[in-house]
Amino acid sequence: MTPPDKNNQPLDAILRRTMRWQPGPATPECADSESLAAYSDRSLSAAERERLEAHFADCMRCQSMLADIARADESARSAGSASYVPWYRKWRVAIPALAAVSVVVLSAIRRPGNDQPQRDQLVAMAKREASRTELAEQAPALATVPAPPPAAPALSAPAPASNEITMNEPRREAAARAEAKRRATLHRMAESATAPGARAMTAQAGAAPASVGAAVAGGAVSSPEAAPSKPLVTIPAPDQSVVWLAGRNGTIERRDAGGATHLQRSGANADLVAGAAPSATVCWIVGRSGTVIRTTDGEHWAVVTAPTADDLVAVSASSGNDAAVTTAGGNRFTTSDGGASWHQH
Amino acid sequence: MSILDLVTDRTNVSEAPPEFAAQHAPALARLCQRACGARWRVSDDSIRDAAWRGARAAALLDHAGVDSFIDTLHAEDLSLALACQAGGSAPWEHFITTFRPALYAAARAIAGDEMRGRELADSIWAEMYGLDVRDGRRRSILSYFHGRSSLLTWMRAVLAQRHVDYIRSQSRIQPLDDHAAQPTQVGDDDGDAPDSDRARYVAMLGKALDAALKSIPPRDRMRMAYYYRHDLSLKEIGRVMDEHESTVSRRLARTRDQLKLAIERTLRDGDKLSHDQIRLCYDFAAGDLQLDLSRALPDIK
Repeated sequence: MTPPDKNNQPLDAILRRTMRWQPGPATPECADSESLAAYSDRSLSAAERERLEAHFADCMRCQSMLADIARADESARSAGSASYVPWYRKWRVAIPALAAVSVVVLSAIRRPGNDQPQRDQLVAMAKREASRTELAEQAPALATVPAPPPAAPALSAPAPASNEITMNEPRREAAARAEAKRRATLHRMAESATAPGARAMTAQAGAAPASVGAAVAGGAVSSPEAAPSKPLVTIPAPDQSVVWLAGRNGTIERRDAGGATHLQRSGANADLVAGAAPSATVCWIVGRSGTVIRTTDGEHWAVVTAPTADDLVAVSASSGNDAAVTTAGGNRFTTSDGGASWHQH
Repeated sequence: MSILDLVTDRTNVSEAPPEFAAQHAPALARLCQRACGARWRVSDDSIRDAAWRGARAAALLDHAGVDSFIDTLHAEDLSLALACQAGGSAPWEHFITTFRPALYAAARAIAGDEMRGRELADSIWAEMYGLDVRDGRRRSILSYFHGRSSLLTWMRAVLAQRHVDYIRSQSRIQPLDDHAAQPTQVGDDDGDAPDSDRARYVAMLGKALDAALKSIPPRDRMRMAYYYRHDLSLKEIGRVMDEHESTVSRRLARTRDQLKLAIERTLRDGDKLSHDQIRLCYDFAAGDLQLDLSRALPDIK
């Protein structure tokens, strides 16, 4: 109710005092337990409801009983919600989330010049990790991005073009090596997060936070401190002939086997966080706010009508038509017609 | 006054007339299918009989809405209640496991006290089991459950009924006629002038409030009663009224404003009070705990 103000306080006090009376005895008009219960459960017809309410309006006995039923119902609902553990308190979520946060913090310490805002990213990353850990237990069949080769040559820094402004060579190589190491770690975590032993793995990850990076299965977030120009996810094709790097604000970069890269138009504006490439020409990428984009020729992207406006955290695909996307809340949708229609599981 | 005294006139165990089963065969068939009576070995005849008893108790047998009434019955709960009445151990075990904790939790919430809640729940539990044996049959208050609501809500209603009777029996508030403090009448010389004025203002405001309360729609009166009389939260009021919490809040505020306008209109136009005098009415009535406002209230039924 509106906060009490000086003008209403006297009337409020009067109303409270004048309505403090004990219930009287039952009368023939009073509702029996079945009618009270049916009224509370909305099982009565409109006419019955209206008839009873005309009596309830002035019968303190019936009001008292309805009030008690409402209290019992609310108490039961509160007890039920009290048993609900928020995502950030579940141990199997808290440990990997803590690990992810620790890595980001350590990375930030190592790179004092990085002024990229991280708080939102940390939260989003932790939530994605939470979702993925839960999803791993529920849907171990989620497809993941194919693991990169041990040496991860596709993740190494490309040879600069002749007219390209480059960083100092040693510094660039060091950055590339660090990036490659980080991504390899993330891919290992992504794979382990979908394995049956995901819980044990994440527990171990929690025990060694320094060695664990943020990981979301399905080729999701890879770089904890991704700057706007740095990708959030890398999606290699099965034969490694091409890698897509997707990131913030819908940015996509395609990197060929020779190392040449070029930006591509995604048609999306949201952050892109997960992808799956069943071939060198087909790739699905998902992101925030229900963003789904797809290419079927490796070059041109189209926005696909999403099944939901929720943040999407994972995608698996077997072809240009068949794909499955998963929301941060764990809802899974599949399509077999390239996204023209979706089916929720 | 016990629960059984309140409900003994409601139902008698009897078979459904053949014409009832024939007229409402499709609805009864749907009911039997939903009831899954085979789980607890409850026959379709028993379920049809229960539907007939429920329609009769609701005074719907001669009305056109019997089919829709049957379709709204909580069939599975009805089947379980019938099975428990018949004394089956499996249904009773299920009933204990499923409903006993909820019953005791509801009793605690209603009684507001752990010990009193347990006493309340124990008494209802015993009556549902049926400790009273007549003509070789155990009588259970479950026989008064006809499926018009869920079994849990019905149990809460039974608890609420038992609790309100307990409150009445424990009440120390005197009946209206025995109130010691009587409002001072206009022109009464028992008090000095300020007390006379005070009593007069309170009486006028009480009368205006009484008229204002009677003029508002029933649902608005219910909402006000739940908030001011029963101290329900906005969420709880929403549960009773089937309204969103914000709707409850908005309508309570609107009703209060309407009451205020109606009261002040009566005092200004009817009793010819000035703005300052109206304010005094409020202040006296709100601040003076000695005076009795009972004369201004709607009759308690």
